[in-house]
Amino acid sequence: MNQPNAHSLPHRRTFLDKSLLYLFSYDVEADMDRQEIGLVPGGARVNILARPGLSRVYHVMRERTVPGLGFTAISGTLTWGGDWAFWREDDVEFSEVRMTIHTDDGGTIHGFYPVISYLGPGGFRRVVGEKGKIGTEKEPVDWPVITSPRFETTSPAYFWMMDLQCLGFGLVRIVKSEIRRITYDVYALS
Amino acid sequence: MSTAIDPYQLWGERTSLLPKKLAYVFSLDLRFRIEPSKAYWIGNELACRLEIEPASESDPHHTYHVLDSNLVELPNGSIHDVPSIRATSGGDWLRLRKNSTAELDARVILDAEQPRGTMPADPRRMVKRMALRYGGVANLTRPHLLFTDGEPTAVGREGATQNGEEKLGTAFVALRFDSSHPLYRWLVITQYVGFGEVHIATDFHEEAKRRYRRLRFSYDVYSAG
Repeated sequence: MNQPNAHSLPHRRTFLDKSLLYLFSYDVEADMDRQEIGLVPGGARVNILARPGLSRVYHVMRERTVPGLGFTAISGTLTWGGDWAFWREDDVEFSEVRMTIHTDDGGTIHGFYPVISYLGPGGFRRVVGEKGKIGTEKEPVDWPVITSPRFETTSPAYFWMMDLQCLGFGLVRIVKSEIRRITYDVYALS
Repeated sequence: MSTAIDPYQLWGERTSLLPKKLAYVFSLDLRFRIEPSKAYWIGNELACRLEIEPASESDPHHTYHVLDSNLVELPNGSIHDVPSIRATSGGDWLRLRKNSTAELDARVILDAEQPRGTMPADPRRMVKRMALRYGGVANLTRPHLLFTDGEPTAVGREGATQNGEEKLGTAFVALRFDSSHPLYRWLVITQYVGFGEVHIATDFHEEAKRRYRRLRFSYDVYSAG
């Protein structure tokens, strides 16, 4: 008997439900003492660390719970963070970011995500070269960056974060091709 | 690229959100096989490899636009052809937690066909190979259907069965593409996210049911900016 087969079905004609649920924001002050690895095959590597104690995690509306989920809102300090950046010769940045959030109620949350960012035409040369550096002290450049963070924790109050795929909309402030400050809004895909 | 946001408001604790935009790019259907007998425990998680079922002649394309548009606009304003891509091989190293949430970690090889309106050059070079990597989470309502050996008795009884398959949950992933072809560079340099559904097939042969399950992950892929 011929059964209906999913493989021969016409494709879907409606969009799937989608929403972004705002979770928290954080600001990072980058340490100017970068760990410059230098030119490597295919590009250049540099490790950029956050200045500990100066990076906050907060809810822009100062809510105590996450609206829509009812869980405790994340508020605290980003105690450690690092960005292992790889600037490719084809003007694309691939980074691996790791960070530790210490919440005000004593929880510890580990965050990690990759970053893909297009540096613009000639961006690689501007980032690693001496000429045409991006941004000045008087006119810094705010570069939009998109990330896809995930979180892990052993703090029961924040177990719910491990079940989420998140999306971060951020701005990176660049002066003389160096990252000075970073700010992000983190949303959960739902 | 400078933005119009007041720089003095940005640093310190903001009281307003940054601008954000999601733009629909295309939809992607991936079909997998999972063999319950090959599942194994890693700590408290049940792990299993889902293997891609290659596209068939009757269903050559795994990507489509739900409104059948040929063009899409990304948040940065650039306009591109909806790529015609089919999955040829790969897998998803799924890890199921006890709370029915599954970690997804997929590597898929995709073949992209020559975009519409471009000159067909050397026919041997018309198919462009692409790598897709995605990770994320799937929230499954009845994950036991994946791993119970033998007759999946619950299939088609509790949930609504439609077109020979049944919805098993939702999935949210972050996707990255890799391609050496300039036509698909716009896919490589952008972060994508997928809002998806997981379906389990209920229509295939009884003997096959005892050996493996068939899953379909259907995603709407968005570019963020």
